[in-house]
Parts: sequence; C-alpha cells; structure tokens
Amino acid sequence: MIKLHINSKEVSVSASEDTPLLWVLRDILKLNGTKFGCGAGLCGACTVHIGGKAVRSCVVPVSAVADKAITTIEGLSSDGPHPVQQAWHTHRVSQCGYCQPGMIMAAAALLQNNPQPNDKDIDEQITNICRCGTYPRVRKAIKTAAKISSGDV
Amino acid sequence: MKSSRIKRRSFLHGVTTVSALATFPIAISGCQTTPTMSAGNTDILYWVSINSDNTVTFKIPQPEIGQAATTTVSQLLAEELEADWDSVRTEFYDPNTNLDNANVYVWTPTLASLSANHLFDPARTAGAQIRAMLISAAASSFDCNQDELFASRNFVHHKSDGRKLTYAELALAASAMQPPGAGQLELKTQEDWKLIGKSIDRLDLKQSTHAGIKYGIDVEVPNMRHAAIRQCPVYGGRLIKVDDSVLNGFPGAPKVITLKGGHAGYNSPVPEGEDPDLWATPVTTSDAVAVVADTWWQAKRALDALEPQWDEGEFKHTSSDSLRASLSDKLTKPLDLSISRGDVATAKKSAAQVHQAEYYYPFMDPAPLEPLNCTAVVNENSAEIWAGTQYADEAIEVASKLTGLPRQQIEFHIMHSGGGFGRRAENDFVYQAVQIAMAISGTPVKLLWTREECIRKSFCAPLTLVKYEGAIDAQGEVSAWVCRAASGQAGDQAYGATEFPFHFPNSLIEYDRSTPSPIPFGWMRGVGYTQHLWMNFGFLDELARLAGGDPAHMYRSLLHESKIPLGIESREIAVQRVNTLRRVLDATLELTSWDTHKSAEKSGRGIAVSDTEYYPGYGSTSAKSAVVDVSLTEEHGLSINKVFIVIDCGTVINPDIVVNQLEGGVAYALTNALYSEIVVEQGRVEQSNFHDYPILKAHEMPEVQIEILPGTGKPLSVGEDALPITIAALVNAIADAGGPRIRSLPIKLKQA
Repeated sequence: MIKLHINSKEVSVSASEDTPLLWVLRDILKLNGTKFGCGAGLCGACTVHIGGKAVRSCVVPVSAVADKAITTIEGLSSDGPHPVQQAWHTHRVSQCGYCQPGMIMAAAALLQNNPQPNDKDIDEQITNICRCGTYPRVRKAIKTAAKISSGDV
Repeated sequence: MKSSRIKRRSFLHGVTTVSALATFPIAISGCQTTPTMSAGNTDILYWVSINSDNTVTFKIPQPEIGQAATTTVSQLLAEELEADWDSVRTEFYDPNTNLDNANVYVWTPTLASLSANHLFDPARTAGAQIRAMLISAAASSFDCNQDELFASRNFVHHKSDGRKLTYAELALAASAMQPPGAGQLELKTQEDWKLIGKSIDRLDLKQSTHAGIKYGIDVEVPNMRHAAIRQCPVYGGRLIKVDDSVLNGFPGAPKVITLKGGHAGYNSPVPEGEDPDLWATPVTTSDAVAVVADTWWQAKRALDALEPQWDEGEFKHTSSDSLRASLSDKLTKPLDLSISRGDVATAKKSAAQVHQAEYYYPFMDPAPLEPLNCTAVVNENSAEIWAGTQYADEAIEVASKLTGLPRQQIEFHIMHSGGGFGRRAENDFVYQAVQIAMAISGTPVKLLWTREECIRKSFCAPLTLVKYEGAIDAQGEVSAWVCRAASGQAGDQAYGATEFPFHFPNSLIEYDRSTPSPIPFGWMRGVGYTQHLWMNFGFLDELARLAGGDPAHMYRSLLHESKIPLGIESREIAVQRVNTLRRVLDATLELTSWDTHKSAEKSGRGIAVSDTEYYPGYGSTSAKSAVVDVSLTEEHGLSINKVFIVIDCGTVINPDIVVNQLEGGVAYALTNALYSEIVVEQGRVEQSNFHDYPILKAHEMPEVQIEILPGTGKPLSVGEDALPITIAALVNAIADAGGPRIRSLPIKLKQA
C-alpha cells in the first residue's frame, strides 16, 4: 500500500510502484478530471500540483510522490471557483474542453509562483497543448485571473 | 466543357439525399409519436423532453466534439419553444431513435461543419411545433381559442385573464396533440429573436472549467475491466501468433484477446445509388492484440511484454516516398477525372510566359487530444456501448453486425469527445471494443488506445501530389490553368481542385485517387480544401508575381462575372459565388489597409479568399478570407505576426462561438502548415507522439483579428473554415517577405 496526500486528504492505494500517478488518480481513485493525452509528459493534459508546482502526472511514478501534497483539478479550490476558473469563464476559453483541466492547473501554478506574469512568462510556462487552439483566450484569461487574485477586478 | 466522367461525385451528395427525404421530419414523425413518460418527464416529437420540474431537456442531434452544437442547437430550439434558457438541459440523441424514425434528427454526423446549416430549420421547426402543441393543450384546458394564449419561459399564459399553466402541466396533453405541419407554422422573424444571434455562454462552459464534462475516457461502469491494444504496425497486416504465456505472474489478471481486422463501416453517409466503396472508402482495420486487465496501466504493461508475430501484408515495403513516386508516374498519363475548358495548348503557344510547379501534401493525422476509446458490454441478448464518436448512427450499425444483435437491443451512449477533427468519423475503435467485449461476454470493458497507437494507426488526410502549369498572356492575364492531382486512395476530395472559385479562359483539371495507400483515408478538418486551396493560391500567387501585379488585385479582377466562361454548367451559381467572394475580399482589403500597408524589410503579407463549396450550388459554406503577416528573421527564422479572418457565414447563431472556432481554426491551420507530417517507411509510421508529431503551442500563436460580416439566410460553415485560407495566405506571405516559395507541407523553415 502506498500512502498519498491528495486534495488535503490521506488515501492508501494498492498499485505497483512504477504506476504513473495519472493512472492511480484515474483508475484507482476515480479522480477523472485529470486527463490522459500522451503518456510522455508532452501535452500537459494530466497536469496536477505537487508541492505547489505544476507536474505532468503521466510520467511521475506513484512511489515518488508518497510524501508530497498533491492537488488535482477536483481540489483546486475549496471555496467557490478559483480565480483561474473564474477568468476561464469570463473569456469563454474552452472548445472541446479536454485539455482545460490541465491548462487550468498549469495556469494556477504559474500565478501562485508569479502573481503578475507578462507575455514572456506565459510563453515560457504554459506549454500545454490545446488541439482546439484556445491559446488567445488562455493568454487573456491568465491576465484576468492575475487581476482577480490581486483584487483588481 | 468536356468531362470524362459525367456523374460528379462529391463528399456531400449524401446530404441532399437525406435532406430531401425529410426536410421537416418533425411533422412526419409527430404523427407517429407515442407519448412516453419516464419519471414524470414527457418526450415530445423526439427532440424535447418536458420535465416534471418544468425544466426542458433537449436531445442534441449531433455528437459534441467542441464545435458547440450542444449550445447552438439549443438556442434554435429554445428560441421557438419560448423556453427559459436557464431551464435548458441537454443530452445527446439516441441513434436508434433516429434510425427507427426516418432520420428524424435530419443531420446527425458531426462532419463538414454542417450542424448549424442543416439544423437551422429543423430545430426551429421542432421548437415551434412543440410550442404550438403546448398552446393547443392549454386552449383545451382553458376552453378558449389558441390566439388568446401565448408562450413564454416555460409557461402558457392567457393574454387577458392572467391564467397560466406550466409546460410541465401541459406536457402530457400536448404530446397527444397533432403537431402542425411545417406549412401551418410561422417561425419567428429575426427582429423577435431573443436567443439566436446572442453570444450566450456555452452550456458546458462551467463544467469545462471544473472538469465536469464526461468524455468517453471517463466512463465508469461497475465491474469494468480495462483494455490496451496494439495493431499490426503495417496497414492491413494479419496476426500470425502471439505467445501469452509470458504474462504468467503479471498483476491485474491480464488476458490476451486477438482481434481480426475487418470492415468497420464507412466514415460518412453514402448517397443512395452510389457504390460506398468507391464513393467513400471503407473503414478497414488491421489485426490486433488486446490485453484486458483490472486497470489500464496493468493492461498496457502486459501488452508491452508481448511479441506478436505479424504477416505484414501488401504494404510492408511501401513508403511515403514510394507512394509519391507512384503518383508522379500516374501524373505522366491522363487521369480518371478530367475537366477541360477552352484550348490550353493554343493558349500556351501564344503565351508570354509559361510556368510549371509541383506541390505536395503529406499524410496528416487529425490527432484529437483525447485518445480513442470505447466502453462496451455485450450480453447474450443485449449490448451497451459508450463512445465519443462523430458518427454514432454508423457505430451502432457496426456493433449490430459484429454481435448479430438487432440494433434495438443495443443501447448506445454518445459521450463528449475530446476533439474529433475527422478522426472520430471512423468507428474502428468501437469495432475493436465490441469484439473485446464479445470475447469476455457479460463483463464491461473500456478500450483505450495509447497516443502512439493513435498516431501510428490513424486514418489520415491523403498524401497528394499536384502538377500545375499556367500561361500568362501579353497583357499579364492568366490565359491557361492546368491543375492535375493524384492522391493515395481516398474519399472524393476532387472538389478541392475542381471547385476553385477562380475561372480562366482555358483550363484543364484532372484528378485521380485510386493508388493503393499504406495509410487508410480519413476526412480531416477542412477536408479537400485544406489540402488543395493553399496549393491553388500558391500557384496563382506565383503567376501573379510573374505577371508583375499585386496578387490581391489579380484575385479581385478574376472574381468578376466577366471572367466566368459563357456556357458553363451552373453559370449563375458561379457568378453569385464570385460576387460574394469579391465583397468579402473588398472588406478584407479595407480592414487590413491592404493598398496602403507597407511591410517592413524581410516582412510580408499574404491573402486568400474562398468559400469551400463541394459542388455548384451546395450552398452550405461560408465566404471567407485570411491575411497573414510574417517576418523572416536572421537565418530564415519565420515569425507569424498576425492573422486577419473576415467571414460571411450567413445568419450567426452565436457570434462568440464563431470567433472561438475561427481562432482555433487558425491554430489548427498553423499546426498543419508548420508541423504535421506522417511519414511511412517500410509500411510503418515513423512518428509516435507529440515530440515528433508536434502541435502548435501558446507561444507560437499569433494575434488573430476576426471580422464577421453581416450575413443573411441560413447559417453557413464555421468549424473548418479558417484552415484552408490561413495556410494559403501564410505560404504567400512567406514569398512576399522574400522567403522561399513553399510548395510542400509542412513548411521547413526555422521558427523564430
């Protein structure tokens, strides 16, 4: 059994040590908000927070995160929508929506570490793939989320 | 004009057949309706359920792949039903209901950007009919005339005495009323629209920000097992043997199931009277090995340990290069489809300049982000299937044939798709999941492909080679246009060459799509126009530059009634086309200050304008243009600075959704132009994941400015529309900036 701290709760799971965190979340814990896109850390659909940083859970073995605080899209905000989710709503970002949980988690981690990101910061930090091409709205929404977080909106 | 083949085939002939069958199917079906009650909810005319809490549930007649049909169709239904928008719930239609009731939903596949166009009248008519039935029921209840009543926000009110009844109270009586025929209905006019034309939030917007959308991959069924799959790496290959004894001791109780490749239906409706194997191409799968285990990761690990032996079949020595060579050889002879106008040979003799060029389009995988998946359980007398597919009516037929169960004993749940772009028009993954479920009868199983499997075993846009020849006369006008195209075996995409809206005094257009291909054909976003429009504009731009003029001015002069040869078929339609396109072009030249704009050094601007008509008069597609600004920085680094899109897409149901689709279409176009190439070597796809089949990322996305021109009539296509014009404008912008002439995709210039 491996003990995990997920969304402020402690859970024990039975899985081989090399199982990627993504598949523990999805198939064992039924936290299906974290998506599978590539299995190789290339697209970011599976982004979660580990110790406050955006991590691609499809390439992290579950044994490596046993003592760390893991946050998934389901646990992003406990009191109403997170500023990033509010901004995503304002800018009507999504199309098919599949990449959006990972994109939102990447944006939330960016803002946590850099509350006022400029375009260059966004370019460097938001490397998730959106096949529908919602990028112009992702950029606008991150800037709006920064304003919401800082109380400017 | 002479044509070697009288009967023109086209992607969408099937649609006309379907539409003619049942232009307003609601009235027809209404007569056959038996009211159904479930948990106090009442289905009326198949399209709407009035719920006991006075909310309404709309049956969305299209799978949702991100195109927002869930929202736009709901706007149409709610507008005429006078439904309270906040009370609108949705669910996807049931394919059996459609197939058992003469195609009551009119247009159910998510294909060819047709939902808004094909459902505009039917959905509004359904809403109006149901409203009329509710009013009729209220008139009976109040014992008054119907014209004393009106419907508003899920109530029917009496105009003068204040009496009112909820839709829920009226629903059962209403469902037994005879629906008024289409001729007896008066649909609301534009001035009275409260929902159509408004940028209402997508109905799934909140769910999309909270991971609340359930995709096929998220299906959970009690006692469900998981399957991973590996197909013969060479298309059409057969399994010789696989040794499953190596899995002894593997966790998750893995079980090996071998799958026969075969015919998994078709990837679009086939018109009556057409040979489906010629008109489209059958969806044919290769043999495969699947492993079923307790979790997907266990299934995948077990599958990775297997070493199946394959008979790789007829394509084992075929490569992209060998196919290209075959096409090149084919182009030395006259081709199957040949349309000739005027006298090209004479025009060439008297020309001031004659120019030739060869253009190339590689295989491309549509690559939706959600990997292909399907969940199925097959019992002795029933089956249940959950899948994100673009073509559910075909998926259920595929399952019925495989299991031998009548369709009606199969329950099919359409799930949200994490993108489609054509790839989910093939139901190969449904075909496989049902076979696996049959092998473990009674146990539900979710089949999920890896990304590697998705890229290596896709149904691709066909590899295509085109030879152009053009003549320019002494006045600098294009006097002859020759476009001869050959592709690997494919559905009919010849319209990409034959329906180019520009006309020339002498022309020859030829097409062949019969050469066996190591990758099966699939429709990809923008279909034949995505392949051909950039080539057509690229070569026309070459001619314009040789003639020494501004390409945009050449396009403008060509988009004129006087340029359309007398005596051609459907000349009026051609005239209307060029007039519309000229209007869009003029708006674009004004928006972009084309005539006064000066590009900086090593910078350039390209332009393209077209509709995407499949055959003369089809009339479902928008007129649109793109202008792309680029600069070429040190060592030929390409920077795409801005993209303008101008569109006339008829009546707009939801402007913000149009903008979102076009922005996304630009991103998709740039991925095609800059990155997408599936290369076959020894019958195998060389690419495997997003490191070698890259998708555009946020930092590469240029600024996009979109202008929607005021439009009238039915809504026209939007989902695919940004692709062909953006790629076309981009390749010409690179030439304008002094860069190389792009005649092959992807563009292999260094990115800035």
